[in-house]
Amino acid sequence: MKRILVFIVFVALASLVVCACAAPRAAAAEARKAKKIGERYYLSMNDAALLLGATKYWNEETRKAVLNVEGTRIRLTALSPIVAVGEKTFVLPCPVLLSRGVIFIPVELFTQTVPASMGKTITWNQGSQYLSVVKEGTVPATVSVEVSDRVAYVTVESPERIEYSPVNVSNDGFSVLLERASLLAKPVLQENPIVTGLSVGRAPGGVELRVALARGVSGYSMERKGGPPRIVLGFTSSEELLRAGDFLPLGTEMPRVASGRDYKVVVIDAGHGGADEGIRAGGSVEKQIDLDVARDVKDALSAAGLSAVLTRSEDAQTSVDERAVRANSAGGDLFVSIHCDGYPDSQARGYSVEVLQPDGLAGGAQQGEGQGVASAGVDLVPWSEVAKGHVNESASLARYISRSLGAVEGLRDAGFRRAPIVLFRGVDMPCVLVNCGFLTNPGDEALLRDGASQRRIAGAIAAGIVEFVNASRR
Amino acid sequence: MDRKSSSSFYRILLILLLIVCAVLVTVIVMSRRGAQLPEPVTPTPERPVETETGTKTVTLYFGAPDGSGLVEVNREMPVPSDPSALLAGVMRELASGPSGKVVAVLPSGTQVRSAYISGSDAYVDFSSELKSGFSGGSTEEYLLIASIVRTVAENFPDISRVQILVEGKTVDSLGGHYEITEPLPVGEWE
Repeated sequence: MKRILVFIVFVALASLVVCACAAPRAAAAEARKAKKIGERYYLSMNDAALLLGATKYWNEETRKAVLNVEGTRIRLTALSPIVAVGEKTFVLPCPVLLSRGVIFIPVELFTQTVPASMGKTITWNQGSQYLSVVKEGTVPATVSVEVSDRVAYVTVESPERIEYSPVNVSNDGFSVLLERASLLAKPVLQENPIVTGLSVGRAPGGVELRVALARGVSGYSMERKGGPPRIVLGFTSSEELLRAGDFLPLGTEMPRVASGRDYKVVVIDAGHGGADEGIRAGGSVEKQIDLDVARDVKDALSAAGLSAVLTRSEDAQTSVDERAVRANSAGGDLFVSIHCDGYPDSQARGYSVEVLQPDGLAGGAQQGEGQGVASAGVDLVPWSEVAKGHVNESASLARYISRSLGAVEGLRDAGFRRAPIVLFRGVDMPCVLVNCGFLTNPGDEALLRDGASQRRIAGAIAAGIVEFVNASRR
Repeated sequence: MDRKSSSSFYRILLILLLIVCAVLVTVIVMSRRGAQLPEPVTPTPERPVETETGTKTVTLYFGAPDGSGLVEVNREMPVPSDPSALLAGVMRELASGPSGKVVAVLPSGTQVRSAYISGSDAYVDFSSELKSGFSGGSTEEYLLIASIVRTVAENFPDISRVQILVEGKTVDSLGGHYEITEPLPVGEWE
């Protein structure tokens, strides 16, 4: 009996201990910029807390500050160089500063004291003045860009070799997966004619480096270099260099299977309708403008010899599923949905195009397939997924339409977006959504309301579609 | 006979003990997990700096005035003990809107009902205003979703997906443009 009682008490105690030891969450990998004050570099208390993922405490009376990093306390006193980390005390080469209520901590705390006493890896880049915490189990890397007028090189440098794999080697959304890497500081980019943007995102297994390229960029190269291990991505807009063989052609999103594909029936979908008015701003109602523009696009396409079908030809509420059924049963080859945009701030203006995003990182490769469930030789694709089978053609069509709309006077290019668009659910063909402009912007609204400029916008959309269709036939 | 009854008495006692222990353990576990337990009302004496409530700088994303993307705003907030309560706090800061020249993308009046973290998924449950109060275009709708997803991702680096709920349920979309039925992968909402 006694033994059983002892056992029960033991179990009860053990469960208590387990509860108490619930592990704290890992801190973020962060990069923060230091500030030069006098001859030395300092990090503000706020940035220090962000860098270390710490909770901070500050007592104004005693002028003492504490950073709590996953249970370890770093105790500082304003105007004193003495700092305590856990139970140990260190002396910094200069005192902690207090300036207008803000505490500035000498960077040596992060470059020397914290790594030595807490086992964290922190790098200090004096050139960019960035301090970065390197996430455990990852390789720190820095990205730099070198540009001449014909070639740009994006270099990823790291103390250890980083494995990489290209995710997208097209002119639209070029990206590379850097395995187990963590990037230090945000890449700085000077204005140049080749690389228009650099961004870094987290991806399964590492980070994804995305390189936005100017439209004329047609070639790329990828190679490893020694010294400190480097991955060098080259980009060029020169056909000459491309022909010389140092660069590979970028897969632009022109249809890859250009031969044979003949798009004949274009479905034009006017947004909203009936009780669903869309955006109402400046005296305009979106459902009416969408329908006006859609009709004009249909006329322009018919004039160009293509067959065009409308999903709604009057002011009637039409569900997403009804639209998809009409588009599919009309034997549609392309689906273009006409909308207007709206935003709380009237500064937002311009047209934009939207397409579905591919599923996950590997999704870009599946063209014309969708995620089928194989069953007795028939691919069953869920209704909601069919539109995803056409992401590459959709993006290509969107590019043609966007380029063509760029010629409409007074209308600005507000971008290209990939998103899980509800309106394409069940539509089994390449789909593009065109936002013709912001009704919440007075300039755009005036354009969209006027019959003549509606026809110009519709003409540009139709011209983009026709160009895409012709390019696909070749 | 005596022996028999005493052994069954012990058995009942043992079962009772087990039940008492189980209840005790459950109560202790619940009180440790439950973050919203009220603080004891006993007056707290002057404490050394280490034990004051800590604050953390969190990053919130609001809309850029020209609609071209999101704008980062840092805000100071007290740090609750567990991550789910911190997530709820961060989302309340986001719902309370910005001050200054950036654009509030969550409809006014939107409340955060609750938030919790399960593995690498975050769940944020908003009041009905998130959907009923929305009447914008696709750019506004996109930035609304992106501001929630990116704010979660930025402050909780271990989260890889965010599920948006309205009144405790999943919804098809907020304004008819973007599907949010499934948890949203953080990498896809830039």
